Parts: sequence; structure tokens; C-alpha cells
Amino acid sequence: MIRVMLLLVAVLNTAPAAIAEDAVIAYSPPSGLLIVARGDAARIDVFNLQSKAPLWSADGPASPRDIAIDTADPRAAVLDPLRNEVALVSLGRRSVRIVRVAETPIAARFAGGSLFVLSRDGRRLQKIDEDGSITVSVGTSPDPAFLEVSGNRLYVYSRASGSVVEYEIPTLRQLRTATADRFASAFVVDDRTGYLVYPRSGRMQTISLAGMNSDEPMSVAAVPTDLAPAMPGGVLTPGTLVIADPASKRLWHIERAESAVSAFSRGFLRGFLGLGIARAPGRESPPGIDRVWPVGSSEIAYDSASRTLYRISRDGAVVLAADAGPRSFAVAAGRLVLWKNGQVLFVGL
Amino acid sequence: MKRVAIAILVVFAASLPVRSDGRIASDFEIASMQSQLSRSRNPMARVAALLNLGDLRHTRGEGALSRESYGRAIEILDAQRAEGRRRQDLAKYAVATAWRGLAEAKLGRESAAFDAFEEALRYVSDSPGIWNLYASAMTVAGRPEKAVASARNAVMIANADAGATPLDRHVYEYTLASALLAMERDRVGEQEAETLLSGIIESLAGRTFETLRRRIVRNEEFEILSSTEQDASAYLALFNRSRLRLARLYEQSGRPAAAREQYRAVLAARSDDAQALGAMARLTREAADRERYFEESLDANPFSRDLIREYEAYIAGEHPRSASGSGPGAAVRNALHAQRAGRFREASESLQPLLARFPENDVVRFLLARNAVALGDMKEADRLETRIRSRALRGELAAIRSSLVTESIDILERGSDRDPSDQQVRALFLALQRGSLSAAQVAVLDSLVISAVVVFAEGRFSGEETTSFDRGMLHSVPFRFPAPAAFRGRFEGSRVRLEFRILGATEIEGAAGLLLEPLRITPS
Repeated sequence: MIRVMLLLVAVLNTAPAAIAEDAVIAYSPPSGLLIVARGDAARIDVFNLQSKAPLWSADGPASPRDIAIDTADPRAAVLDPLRNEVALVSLGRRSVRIVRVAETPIAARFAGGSLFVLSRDGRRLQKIDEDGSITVSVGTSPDPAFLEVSGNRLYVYSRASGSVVEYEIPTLRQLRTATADRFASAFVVDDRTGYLVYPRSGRMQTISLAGMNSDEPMSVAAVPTDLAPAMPGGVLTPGTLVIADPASKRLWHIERAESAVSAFSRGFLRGFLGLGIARAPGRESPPGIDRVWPVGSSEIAYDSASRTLYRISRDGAVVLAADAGPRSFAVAAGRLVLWKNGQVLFVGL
Repeated sequence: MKRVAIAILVVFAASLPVRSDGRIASDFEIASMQSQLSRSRNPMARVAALLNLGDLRHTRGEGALSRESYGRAIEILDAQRAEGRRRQDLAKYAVATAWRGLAEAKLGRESAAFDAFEEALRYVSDSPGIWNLYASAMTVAGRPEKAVASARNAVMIANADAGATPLDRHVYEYTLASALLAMERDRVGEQEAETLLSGIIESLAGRTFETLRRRIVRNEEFEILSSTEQDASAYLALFNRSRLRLARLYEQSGRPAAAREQYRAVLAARSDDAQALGAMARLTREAADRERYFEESLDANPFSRDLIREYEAYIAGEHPRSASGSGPGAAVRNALHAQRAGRFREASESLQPLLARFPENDVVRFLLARNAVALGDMKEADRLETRIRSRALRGELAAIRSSLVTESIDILERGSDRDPSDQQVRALFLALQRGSLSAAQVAVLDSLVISAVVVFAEGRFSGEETTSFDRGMLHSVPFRFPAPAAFRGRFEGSRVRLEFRILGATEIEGAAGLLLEPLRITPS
């Protein structure tokens, strides 16, 4: 391992060559509007799904990296983890308010009418009201990397400690803590369970939200890097998760964890399939796919190394866009919306 | 996924004698890294060599070469990333991505650096080495709060990892201390950094590293590098950097004796450490020692802007004898003495051979450009400035020019000297050309009537009574009038005293010049 030691003066103080900042896009279902945060111009543009030109624009963050969407109200939050800013976008009032938050905001969720922002390097979870004031701010374990919401609870997974901490909405009162393995690469929750995947061991671990206890990790892939809830459960199916595994060049579909009662009834119906999580044969994917978003019966998948966007289905993989930014696309009303060369493009799915 | 570890072979050149005449201290490290670069087939060893070369070039003002080295490192790292993906070796991909982040930070592209580390951490958030790289990059990028958080993660993970060696742990602690010290005026952080650095130094001097120390002595190793692979080179760099950091901290907190002790320890291990020598010059009480330390520090690195600045303050305050010796350090000292005494041509003559030997050196270009400004040779200053890559040096040069303009306008406004010098005219001309005058300065200039000797292009006589002129030279700056102006009288020859107002910059037969409003002429 090469070790690095800084010089006393190690900043190369020369004019950097310009590197284009990727735009970040998100779709707000309550408003039917598309939010485009452009770091190169430090602007936020709002489009509808018919317009080629923005409906309105405002100053935005210089290094946007993610957008949180309120699924109940027409608003969004653009995160700038480099400059520690969150832009509160009111789509109804056509306004943007920039709020300074704790160091490195890397995740945000709207819940119960408020915005909650997780700042990794500041080790803070903060509640931001609509007027931009931070009304609650609580500390977290080291390296808090993921923020999820289920019901009226928030869950923060800290990579360095392996803790999953449950917080009450909106007070951010810490309720319970589950201990999981450390250094997961992704964390999602559904209404009953939290799921963590570990690239080093190739395993997945589940956390029961009811009891806040963790199960033994189980092998799911060679190097799982991302996971997302896919098909919802039915009478005969417990619902599935899809896992990106760039090492195996596969997307794995696995059954979600389930309650004992529903698992028992399903096991009874399905006979020897029994309880527990089963792994379905994976879908062959192009090499390097490491991010995945289920859309209907197929998936949108992304290769961070080659910046290529795919649609993966039973029929195989189709390239949707080359040289796409990691957050420069969104699914809106059954179409893929892509920001490319300074304009909005629509791609049928 | 396999553990993150890169086994690379770093082969150091045979130890070199410490500084021969005319050589700069970092010449040894540069030669060693160039050798490593040419001989090694291991991509990561080549990356380490290129990053070290970039850092070394940077410390001696060679911005373009520094950027080139970092750029070449990124090319290799991109190939490594692609290969990692192709072979499903995602640890390799992540490590190469993180190193790319460091190279991006060194190039001043903090956004790209941030993205690279975020990508790497998706695969190897359990690696203290990657967090350490992240911390180093964020310190370089001027984001010390992020650097502190990342460094704390590195230290915490390493402390929980039985496999981490004491040397690795100290490297992470050193990075944490560096990040803490990069925070502005944070007393608690400074105390923590001091504790960390003291602990590292104590440990490095202790029994744990006795075998390693013996090996270093036996092999006569002395090179100080930023990116190291072997324990010996890591030990040497850590020993050097920790003491320098601690010494600087002591110095800044008013403990000169403690600082001197640390600097002396650095010099005992490496007698030509430019930073330590410069610091000793600052801290020493005896004038003779101060002169000697300054000489040695500038011999070790003649192109450190900080050292040059300190030496200039020293010349201005203590009026030492003229510089002695030979080599680049002596040439720079000679030039600084000559500049201080107003002998600008002599200063340029001292510096020109350095530019021939170090054609990519920003600091030499800066010193020459500053000299050209003093000589009023703005064209030469412009020519040199366009090739300076360092933003800081360009900014400094702009400030010098700006102060010259301000000074020129002040002199003209006071009216004590209505006949401007060539240097003042050129400064005003360039400021007008660039549009860099403030509104207040423009207003003052608009109201000023200036008197100066000008040389007209040949005039046209209309009978015995009038002479018409439309253009000429004001010192070395061409000028023209908005329209030919007829003056009563016959002016033999074309050298006259002209009273005029400056209207702005204009174009004269394809070249830039001043647009003047003529008011009156008299024979000069």
C-alpha cells in the first residue's frame, strides 16, 4: 500500500483546467415538474415535461450531487456536499432558498412535512423547516452514510460503527439502535425491514424494524454495490429486491424478508420453498453495472466507470445513454429524462 | 472482494551525496523518481513516482511540469480503473479511483476529487488507507473539516484493525494532525495536533523502529517523498514531516526554543531541508547565523516564494552584505540584492541564465516579470506573465502593477510631478487597455491635464502659421489624437512638450496605443 504524507505546502496553486460539472435531475410527481440543478452555471432550472426551455430558474449550488423529492408536496432539496449547502426548492412558489448545513450533506428525506438532512463529515442529522431554519440537530455515530425513512421513523446507518439508529419524526428523538456489520455499500428499508449489502463479503444483512435486531448475513452476490426494492409483494410472492453486482456482471433478484405469519402462509402454499430469502437467477448485465433503479418489470442500471446508462430486462441490456452523469437522469411519467449537452432529452422505456 | 493492498516495488537509486555545488536539494528526489518512472513496469509505482515528481516540481515553482506529472498519473490510473472493471477486480478499481481523486485535488479540481473518493468508498469504506488519501486530498483542496472527518475515520478503522502496523497508524495520525492544523484558529484542534505529532515523533524515536532505523542508516537512505511504499521511505518522510509540522506549530504559538529544537532535528537527518533552514534563519538570534541559514535555504530551494519573500524582508531590514557563492541559490540572492538597490538590469542579468536552465520555472519568470515592471518594460512583463502558471504569482504580479497604477495616478493627481515616467505611462496604458482601472481612478484620470515631452510623427505644415499632428510616441507608448490637431506655430523637428488628457486605449495601425486629447504644445 502506498502511503501519502502531505507536504507543508502541497496545494498546486495553478489555474485548473475546466471540468464540466454534471447536472443532477429529479422528477417531482406532485407537481409534474422536472428539477435540473446545474453546477456549471450554479443554477436550478425547472421544466415541465413538454417544455424545452425552463419554466423558471434561480441561483443554485455550485456542486449539486443529489436531489431529494417530497412525494407529498411540490418541493425538493438539492444537496451540495462539497460546499455544505442545501437548496430548498418550492415548486409551488417558484423560489429557491439556500441553507448552510453541517459538513458534507450526503442524504436527505422529506417526511412528516419536514426535510431531514444527514451530514456525513459533520456527523449530524438535521431537521430543516420550510423557512430554512434548522430546528433540530442531533449527533450521529461516525461515518453516517445512509438515511432512510419508513412510516414515521428515520433510520441512519453508520458505516464505521455498523449501527442502525432509529429516530422519531419530527423530534429526532433517538429511539432504538440495531447493530449490524460495518462497511455496507447500500442500505434500504421497506415497511418492515432494513437491508444492507456488503461489497467485501458479498453478503446481505437484514434488520427487523419491529424488533430492531439484525439477522445473520447471507451470501447474495460476489460484490454487491447497490440494492433497491423491486416488485411489491403479493399473495404468492414476498416482493423482491434487486442487487447490482458488477463483479459477477449480474443483477440479482432476491425475495424480501417477510413477517413470520406471511412467510409461514406463503411457505405453506408453496410447499418446500419454505421460509427465508431465496435468490432467483440473476439477469446478465453488461460489465460494471453498479447502480440500479427498478422501473416496472425492468431496471435502469448505471455503470459508474464508463458512465453508461442501460435498461435491463429479461430480453437483455439496451444502452440508453453514453457518457451520462451519475445523477443526470430521472424517470418521469414512464419516460427516462436525460440531461445531455445542455438540454432535456426524453427516452422511451 | 480481496483486501485492498497494492504490492509495488519501489527501487531507490543508490544514495547520493547530500548536495553538491549548484544542485538543488530536490534534485536527488527528482532523479530518483525519474529513474523509478523509467524502470518500473508496475503501474502504481509509476503513479507514485509521478505524484512525487508533481509535488517536487511544485515546491520549486515548476507549475507546468507539475501539472504534467499529475496528468500523466491520471492517465495511468484511468487505465488501472478500466482494467479493474474488466477483470472484475473491484478493489483495484476502487484504489485507482481514490488515487485519481488525490491527483485531481493536486490539480485544483476539488469537485472531481470529491466524486472520485465518493465512488471509491462505495467499495472500500473499510480501508483506512483510502480514508487517509481522502483526508490528504481534502486538505490539499482546502476543505479541512472534511479532511479531519476522513482522517478520524482512517485512525479509528486502523486502531480497530489488528493488521495495521504502527507505521501505518502514525501516517494516519499525521494526516489527522495536518488536517487539524489546516483549520483556521482552532485552539482545541491545535492541541490535539500537538499531542498527535509529539506522540508520533516519540514513537518513531523509540525501540519499535530500531531495526528500521538501522536499515535506513546502513542503506544511507535520505530521500523525502510524499507518496511512499517502502517502510524506510515512509519512516523518513514521516519523521521529517511530523517534526516540521510540530516545529511550525511551536513557532506560531510563540515557542521558538521548542521550534528550533525540532528544526535542528530535521536538519540533523537531512542537512539541506529548505523549510527547516528557512525557519532557522527566521528564528536564530545571531546575524551571521541568519545570513548563513538564508544562504543555505536558498541554495536548497532557490525557487520557494516563501523563502524569497523572507529573504527580501531580511535584506530590507538588516542590509546584509551582497550575496556570495555560485549556483541557482546565489543567482537568486544576487538578483534580490540588485533589485533592492534599484539595479534592475543587473537583477535581470542574474536571473536570465536561471530561466535558460529552468525554462518552466514560474518563480524565475515572476521575478523577471516584476523586474521588467520596475524597468517599465511592460511588453516583456506581459510576455513573461502569460507563461506563469501559478495563480498566486500572477495575482501577486497583478497587485504590483495595480499598485503602480495607483501610485502613478496619485503622483499625477498631486501635480508635483506632471511629467510622468515611462514606467508610469506604460502602467496606465496597460490598465486602460485591460479595463482594470476603478471608476474612481477613471474619474481622476479624466480630470487630469498631463504635461510630457512627446515625439510626434512627422507634422504637416500649413503655410508659416500652423503645424498639424495626429500621432506620436509618449515615452515608449504610441499615441494618437481623435483627429489631426493643428497647432499655431512652426515646430522644427517633432520633439515637443504636450499638454493633454488621456481619453483611453485605442488602436493605431493595428497596434495598441493611447488616445489623447491634445490641449497645447510648446517647444521642449
